[in-house]
Amino acid sequence: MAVRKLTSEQRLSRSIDIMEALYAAGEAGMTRDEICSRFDISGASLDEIIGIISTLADRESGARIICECRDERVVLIGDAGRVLPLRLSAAEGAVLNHELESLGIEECAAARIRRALLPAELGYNQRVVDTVARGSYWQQLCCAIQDGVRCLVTYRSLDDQHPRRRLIDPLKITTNGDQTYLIAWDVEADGQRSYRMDKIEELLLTEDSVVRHTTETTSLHDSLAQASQSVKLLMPLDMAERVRWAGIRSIKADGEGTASVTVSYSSENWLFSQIIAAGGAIRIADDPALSKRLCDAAEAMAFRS
Amino acid sequence: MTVSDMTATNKTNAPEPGFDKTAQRILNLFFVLNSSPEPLTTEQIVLDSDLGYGSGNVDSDKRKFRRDRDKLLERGIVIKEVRAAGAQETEESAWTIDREHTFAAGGLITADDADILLNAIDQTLTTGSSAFATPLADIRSKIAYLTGETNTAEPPVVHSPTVDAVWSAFADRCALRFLYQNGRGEQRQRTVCVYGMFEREGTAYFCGLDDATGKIRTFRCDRIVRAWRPSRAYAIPADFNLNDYLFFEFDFSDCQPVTATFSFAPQAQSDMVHGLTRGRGRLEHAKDGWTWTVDVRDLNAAASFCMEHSVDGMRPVAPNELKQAWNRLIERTVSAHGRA
Repeated sequence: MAVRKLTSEQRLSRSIDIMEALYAAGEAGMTRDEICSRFDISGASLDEIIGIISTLADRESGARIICECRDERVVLIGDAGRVLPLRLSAAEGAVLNHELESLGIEECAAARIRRALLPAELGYNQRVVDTVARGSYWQQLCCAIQDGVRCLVTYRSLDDQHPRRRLIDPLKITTNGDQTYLIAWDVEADGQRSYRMDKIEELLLTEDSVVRHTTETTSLHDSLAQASQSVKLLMPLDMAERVRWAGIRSIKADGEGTASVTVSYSSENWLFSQIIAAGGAIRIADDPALSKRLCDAAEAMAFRS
Repeated sequence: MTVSDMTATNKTNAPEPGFDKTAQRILNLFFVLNSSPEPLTTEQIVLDSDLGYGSGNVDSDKRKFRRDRDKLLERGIVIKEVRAAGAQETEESAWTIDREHTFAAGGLITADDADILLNAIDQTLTTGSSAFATPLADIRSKIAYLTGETNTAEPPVVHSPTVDAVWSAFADRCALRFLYQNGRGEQRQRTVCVYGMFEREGTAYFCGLDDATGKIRTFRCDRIVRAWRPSRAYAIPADFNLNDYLFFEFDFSDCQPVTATFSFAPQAQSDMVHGLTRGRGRLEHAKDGWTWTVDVRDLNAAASFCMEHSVDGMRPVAPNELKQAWNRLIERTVSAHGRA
């Protein structure tokens, strides 16, 4: 949605941004389309901005900006319009600050980046956030994936009473809803597993490199399907369309407002908690033994008066 | 911006250099200070009609100059006052661009820092950030340019026109008028001063002061049917806290809020607990575990939320009605599976 007619505020912002970008582009300049697309403006607004920029002049020094339009390219001529890369605007600064915090970028690196790029004062407190749980080891795991380093993680799965160490070859980080997962090769289990990033308690990089595995990892969905059990659940169709479980393999509507949903899962406790949370709206189909275990687990969680 | 700052658009829509005198004057101020080797005195600036001042009313031009400095500051351009050593307070000020605080210091970012940051941004863009794709792409370009890492492949950026419209209004601090369709399919035009943006479960939201109700409300970006160009400027109240608006399912009810308490086991991971509670309410950590106290409007939804996370060690503590709602979930589940 290119902003059709700019306000004075937008015209000022876009003019500064365009001068900065044109100076950075050097003699090659930029095409009109590139400028319009990058700065979300129409061709008419670009003409207007070029018009304004071309009027800028310093009477004392005689300096003026020459903004040349050659066919479809716009080029800034000479040094008078020199706009070195500006620090980020307050709003962009808030986004970068959020990125540095939420991804747990190492403190010294984050401080250097803030010093170099953020505006002198953000001017307001944090006003951009997301609710994605990334844990504390995002950066180290990213580096480990990039450099092919084998890792030792302390992790407590949903069914573990205590955390335990796992030797893993990290493969990929992926997100589902508000959860971030590490997909990795569990060396001892000799299989692919997924780990919730916010449940990794400790991470150690080993001296060893990862070993190439024949199976290609593509998604959390595949990872769950490879290592998990599956179950068929019956639930209202509108609920089936809303749930965001990563392990959903199929949803079949029965035409009467109910759906049969096949789900891969790696933790029976997780499955039970989701079914009980629906308060009877979800039922296990065709597995009496699993249903019995569900009822036993549910009753054990009840408060007794 | 005042009406007098704008001249009329010509009918052919051809570019007109004198179209926006305010933008032109502020840009010219930036240009002149940027290209001048020496600081310029207040008098040199406010008496210069070519620059867009020099109206004949010096006080008015000084005020205009101050407003223009503030406008440039909002865009990260810091104009500082300089005085010669030993100068008297009464002596005239001179002005220059504070280059250290205005221009990015590329040399201070190491190649490794840039690599970490570009990688982080690429990850976020690749997983499809719904709310911040546009600013992240801009930040990425700037870092790549500063560090000379312009050859690395840029991840595909998924732009959403409605999110971009909200971002643009938020970044410029201009109220956004839009046609909004609520969850019941009803459409209504609204004007909102956007105070903050957030992403929840892959969906972009924004909240801000809604003209129609005079209250801070939360909206989904993907429910905007049409947006008009942002208009009047606004300021965000200093005490506004976006965390208070990171909603849970238990917030949606007409009931009065009640204070509910939940617990987590002592061994629950700090990252997990903080992620789950999203900075809402009060979170306390003691030897016997974590306690989270938060306002809840719908106790049944709160019990259900707690049950969904029971596998993470979350349990309801108070009030009793919350525990009863928890027990009802269990009874209904057991009953649905044929056990009386």
